[in-house]
Amino acid sequence: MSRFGSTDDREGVLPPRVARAVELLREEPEVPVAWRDDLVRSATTLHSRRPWLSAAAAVLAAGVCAAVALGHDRGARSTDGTRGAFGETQRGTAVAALAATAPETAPVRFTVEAPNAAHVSLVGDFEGWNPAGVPMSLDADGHTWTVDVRLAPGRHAFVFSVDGGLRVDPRAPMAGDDDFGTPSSVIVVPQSGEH
Amino acid sequence: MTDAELVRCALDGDARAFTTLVDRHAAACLRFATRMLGERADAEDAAQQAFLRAYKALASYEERTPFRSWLFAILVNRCRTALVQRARRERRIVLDEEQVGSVRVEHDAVSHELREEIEWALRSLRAEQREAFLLRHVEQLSYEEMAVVTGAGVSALKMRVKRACERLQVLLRDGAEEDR
Repeated sequence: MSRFGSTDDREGVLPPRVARAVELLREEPEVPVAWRDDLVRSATTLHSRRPWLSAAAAVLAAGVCAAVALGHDRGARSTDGTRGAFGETQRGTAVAALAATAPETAPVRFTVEAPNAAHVSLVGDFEGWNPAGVPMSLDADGHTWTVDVRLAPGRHAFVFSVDGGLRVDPRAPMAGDDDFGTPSSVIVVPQSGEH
Repeated sequence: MTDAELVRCALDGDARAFTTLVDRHAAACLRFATRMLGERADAEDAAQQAFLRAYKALASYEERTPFRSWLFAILVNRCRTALVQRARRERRIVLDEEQVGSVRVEHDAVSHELREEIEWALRSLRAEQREAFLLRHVEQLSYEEMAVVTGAGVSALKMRVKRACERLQVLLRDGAEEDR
C-alpha cells in the first residue's frame, strides 16, 4: 500500500523518486488575491444578470415566466407579423429574434427532427444544463419537435435530449468546448439593434 | 457548512457562499491545472473558467456527487480544451526528451532542479496518463471519482496510472543519472 493514500493494493508502493515527485506535486500553490477577487467579481456580475439565482427574485421569476409565455407571441409578431415565420424558414436550427416588448431577452424557437422519439427536450447552459431540460412539443407534421424560450443576448450552448440521448443541432455551429464531456451546439442571440 | 449546503446558499442568492467554495477549492484547482498545463497563466485561465462555468451551472449540481468531483469534471475539460487550443496555436505536439533536455537550465538550488525535473517528466507523459496520474496520486481521487471526472472507465484509468508511474520512474531515474 502506498503511503500516499492508495486504496488499491495492486498499485503497490510507488518507486522512491516517483513518491518524492508526488510529495512535491501535492504542495498547494498560492492562490493570487487578484485572481480570486477577479473570479468572485465575475461571478457576482453573472449573478446580477441572472435574477433566478436570487431567492428574493424567485417570486419575480415566476411572474417573468408567465410574462414570457404571454409576451412571446407579441415578440414573434413584432418580427414580421406571423408567428409561423418565427422559425419556419430555418427549421431544424435555432432562430433568434428580438422582442420589442422585452429588451433583456429575445424569443428563440428551437426545432429538431425526431420522428420516432417519444420525448424530446432542450438542454442548455441557459437553464443550468438541467438534464430534464425544457420539454419540446411534437408538431402536427409528426416529426418536428419545437419549443420557444427567451434568452438573454449572448452566446448559449445547447443540445437536444431525444429519448434520453443527447444530440447536437446539425444546422447550428458546434461549441468549441464541452463542459460536461458532451459536444454541444451554439446559438448567439444578438444585442438589441445588432440584427 | 458542507459544499452542498454552500451550493444551496449560492443558488438562493448568497454571493458569499460561492466565495467560500472558491476559497475552499481554488488551491487544488490551480494545482491540478498548473501540473496539467505546465503554464501558470494557462492554469489560472482554465481554473477561473471552470469556476465560472460551475457557477453558471450550479442549478444542475446534484448532491449525490461530491462537489469537488463535479467541479473537477469541468476543470478537466477546461484543461483538455486548453491543451488542444495550445497545440493548434503553437503547432507543437509533444516535446521529446532530447529537445527538453537541450533547453534545461542549470540551477544551484537542488530542490528547484528537482522540481524542474519533475515538471519535465510530467510534460513528457501523454496527456491522458498525466491527467490520470495527477487525479489519482496528487488530488487523491478514488478511481470511482476519477471515472466521474474523466468519463473513462475504471480499468482504463488504472492502466493509465500504472503506465504513468512506470514512465515517470524511468524518466526520473534517467534524469538523476544525467545529473551525476
